[in-house]
Amino acid sequence: MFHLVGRAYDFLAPRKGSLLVLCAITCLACSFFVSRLVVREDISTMLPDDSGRIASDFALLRLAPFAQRLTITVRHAGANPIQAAEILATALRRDPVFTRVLTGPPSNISLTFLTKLLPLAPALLTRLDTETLHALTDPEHVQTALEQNRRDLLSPGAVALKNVIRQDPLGIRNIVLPKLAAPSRLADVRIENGHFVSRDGKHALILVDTDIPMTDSLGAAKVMGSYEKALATLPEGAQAMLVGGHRHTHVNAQAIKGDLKIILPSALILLALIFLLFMRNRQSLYVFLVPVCVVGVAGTATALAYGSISGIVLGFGAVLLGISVDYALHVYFALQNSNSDENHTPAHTLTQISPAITFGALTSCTALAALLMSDIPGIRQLAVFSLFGIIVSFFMSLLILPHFITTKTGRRIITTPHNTRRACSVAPLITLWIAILSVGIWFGQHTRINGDLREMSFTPLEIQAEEDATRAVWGSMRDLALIFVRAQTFDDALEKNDRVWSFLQTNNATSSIISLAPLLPSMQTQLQNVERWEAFWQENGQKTLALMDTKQKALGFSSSAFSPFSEFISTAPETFSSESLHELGIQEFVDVLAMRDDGEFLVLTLLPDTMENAALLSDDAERELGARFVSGSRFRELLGDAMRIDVLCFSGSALAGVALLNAILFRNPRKTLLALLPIGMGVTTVLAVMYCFGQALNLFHIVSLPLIIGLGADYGIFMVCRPEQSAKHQTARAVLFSGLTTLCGFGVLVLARHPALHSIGITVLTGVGAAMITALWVVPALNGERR
Amino acid sequence: MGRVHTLAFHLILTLSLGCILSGHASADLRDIDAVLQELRVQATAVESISSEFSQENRLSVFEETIISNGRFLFRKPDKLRWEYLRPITEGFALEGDQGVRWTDTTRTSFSLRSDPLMNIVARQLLAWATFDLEWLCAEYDITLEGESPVVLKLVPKGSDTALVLKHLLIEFSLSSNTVQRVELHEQGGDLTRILFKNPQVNTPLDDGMFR
Repeated sequence: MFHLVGRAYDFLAPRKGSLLVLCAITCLACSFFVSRLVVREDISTMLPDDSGRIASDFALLRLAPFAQRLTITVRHAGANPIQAAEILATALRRDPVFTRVLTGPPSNISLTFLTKLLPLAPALLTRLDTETLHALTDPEHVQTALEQNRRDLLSPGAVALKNVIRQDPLGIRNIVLPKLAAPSRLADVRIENGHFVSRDGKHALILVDTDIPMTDSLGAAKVMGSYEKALATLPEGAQAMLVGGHRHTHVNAQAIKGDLKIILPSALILLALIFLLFMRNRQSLYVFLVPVCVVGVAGTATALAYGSISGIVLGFGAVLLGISVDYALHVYFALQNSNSDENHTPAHTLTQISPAITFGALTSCTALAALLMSDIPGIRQLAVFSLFGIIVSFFMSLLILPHFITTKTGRRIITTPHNTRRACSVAPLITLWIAILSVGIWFGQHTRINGDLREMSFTPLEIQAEEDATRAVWGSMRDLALIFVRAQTFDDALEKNDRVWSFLQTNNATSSIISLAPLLPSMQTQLQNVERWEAFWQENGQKTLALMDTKQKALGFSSSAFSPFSEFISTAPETFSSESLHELGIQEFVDVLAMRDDGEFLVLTLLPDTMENAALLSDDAERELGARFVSGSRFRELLGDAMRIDVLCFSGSALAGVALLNAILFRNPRKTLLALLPIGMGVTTVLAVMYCFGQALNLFHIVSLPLIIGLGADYGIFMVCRPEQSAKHQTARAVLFSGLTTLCGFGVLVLARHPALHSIGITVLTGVGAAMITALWVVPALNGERR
Repeated sequence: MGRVHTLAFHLILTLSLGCILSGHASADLRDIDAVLQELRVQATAVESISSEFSQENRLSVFEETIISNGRFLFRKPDKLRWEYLRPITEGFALEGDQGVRWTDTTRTSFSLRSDPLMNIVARQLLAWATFDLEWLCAEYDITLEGESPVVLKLVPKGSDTALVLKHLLIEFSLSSNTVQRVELHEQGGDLTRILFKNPQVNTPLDDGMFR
């Protein structure tokens, strides 16, 4: 079958010019297509979508009140921070980048606030509140309340308080007022002169909204630029700390840019050194063109298959396609050193090396195809991209590249046939493999997997310190867990929210919980409350009014003094909607906890992200309540678990597939085990290094593993096939060169400060390094070759 | 709620302003702007005020007119005391950020830092005590109702305040150049009249009076 490759060479050789033109047109068209692609930069493509739980949790976490918002803490030593905050807020408001700048609660609480509050009481009267109502109508309290009312009506504030007192002489409004206190638990904040101020009065808070998504790196730079400009207006001595996703995006983009300034020159210098040392040939440039063309073609094919392509996939796909240079290098070295005098025509050489290349490509495809089993859509897309790349590289290396490589003339590399010694038997190999696997499994089990997306980004100490300081001042308002309920109508969502609140009350977990339920119950609950209110006054109304009548006369009140109250408790009470809360000036609070999403209504409850709360909101409890508990810590745990399963699945499948293909190729257990050694050593070394340096395996390590498996498989096959081919094919040089270029190209990423780039660097450096050393020295030794 | 207290203290501070102004007002008042400007300048010389008062409440909620007596103290920059002595004992005092309220049976402290409503009061106090004319004119339309004796009429501009308060009248005494009468006319017809007696300006006031 492999002689077809030789025949194809002979067929295409006279059509070399047309082939070049066709190839150039295709590559240029693909490159143009890729450059015009709308690349998606959404991190959610790198989150598992198996049960929808992780992806939907991630989407829900983004709806948390402070997730998209910028939080600015202003401090002015020895001066009032409010003034400094107001100066900064004014500067921010002038910039169109910021759509909303809040320095305090809405100031539309009117003089009639207390009178508007009272009509809500009937619909908010819980069973517990009824006890308060009993206390308020107690004769002793009635006497005290009327005396207080008399004093208040004689004070200078009487003008404003008179209507409130006439309507509510017993202080029923005090049943409603505590329910309005929930927003204050959102952050450890108090209101001073209409501004958010810390408990110690040393800090003022500014909340800033922008329409620019925090994942947009260019937009984030604009946001941070505008913020820096506004900072210049701060008075001398005042300081501000900004916490928000945009700052992270900006600093990460800058860190990557900074890293590239070091990495690119380093990689180029190292690659140039390798070129000067090993190749020094114009034709070798064609080898480098193969992966370049492959990225364009694979990108185009993936974009056509998916409709769009993730920026992360494009970036990491290019890394993975480091494998694609293998085949071109192998062909290059084989052809360069073939000799027509010895009947080694290029066609013959290609026929001879094509089994190794074919199986190398097949094993790489198997390793990458295993990624298709991943629950992470981005990794599946990465697999498709890389598969296209390997296939294109395979055909380009065997069918197109050979026409541009000529045999060396005048300076033939003389290679002596390999001395052979007795190859080791299967038993020591099996022992070696058991040792490698045991070590690998041990390290694999003891290496932590980190699902925390935050730790995959670059966070300078300064930002970390400011985030800690912000948390110390305002509490963990950005780290709260959330309970979501979702329904087709707002009232249905409120009904579910009532059930959640009731559940939390039953479990004594409401102390630090922020919920809309006490302030805006569903219609059903409101009607129950109204019924309770009517029942109370039916039983106690006349008695209370009679009691008040007696006491008010004694205190000099007129008979009509409290007629509004009498009317209020006699009239059939009404339910209310969220609009009534808007009129009270607390719409901001309502909007934070109730929103629309995908045509449905969402109501959320905020609670501390503790293990106790996570345990309380178990899967069973969620099902029973029709609610969803989402928290940062649970999300990280779920993501870590999903990644662990992913690693096990794809690593196991890849290794099994590669082993099977090797077995088919070699039909010899010893050679099969030998060819697999580089992969085993590569993966085991990565795990061992991670463990020894106390590093946890993250998403970027995982997406780099296929490179180790793919390259390791190629190296193993090439080196085990070597004695079966002509010794002139310079297989070891090809493997060494492939390994070195990969280490120089991607291993230098280990110099990066950015955790993602560093993770790829450390994986490639250790994994490919170990696989290359194993292939070049261990495999030949065990294969009975003597150099 | 904040506006309720704000309004209350507008009234208190209007009274205090009346006391301050009355001690220095010129008898030759013709133009309101000139009068206010002159009073603003004179107010800067005021360090403290002490005055007794008699309050007459004609409110529909009470069967009869109620008369109560008390005293009012103010000292720059941020000390205030307003108290009723008869027939009830009640009042409050402010000193900087700290304040205290009392009745005949209770006494409670409060801090402006933890009491946003009282904080607003303090801010208003400062504005009035320093006779911030810009602020005063922003809050009220001020007209000269009479020249002998001098009577100022203050009509609230804010719709919230105007909902309950029709206008204020401040009458100055011809003989002593002090405020003699303040009237709060409400929209419903209720009336509160406060008559000041024995006003003393820039007399030493003990710190203990504001604690």
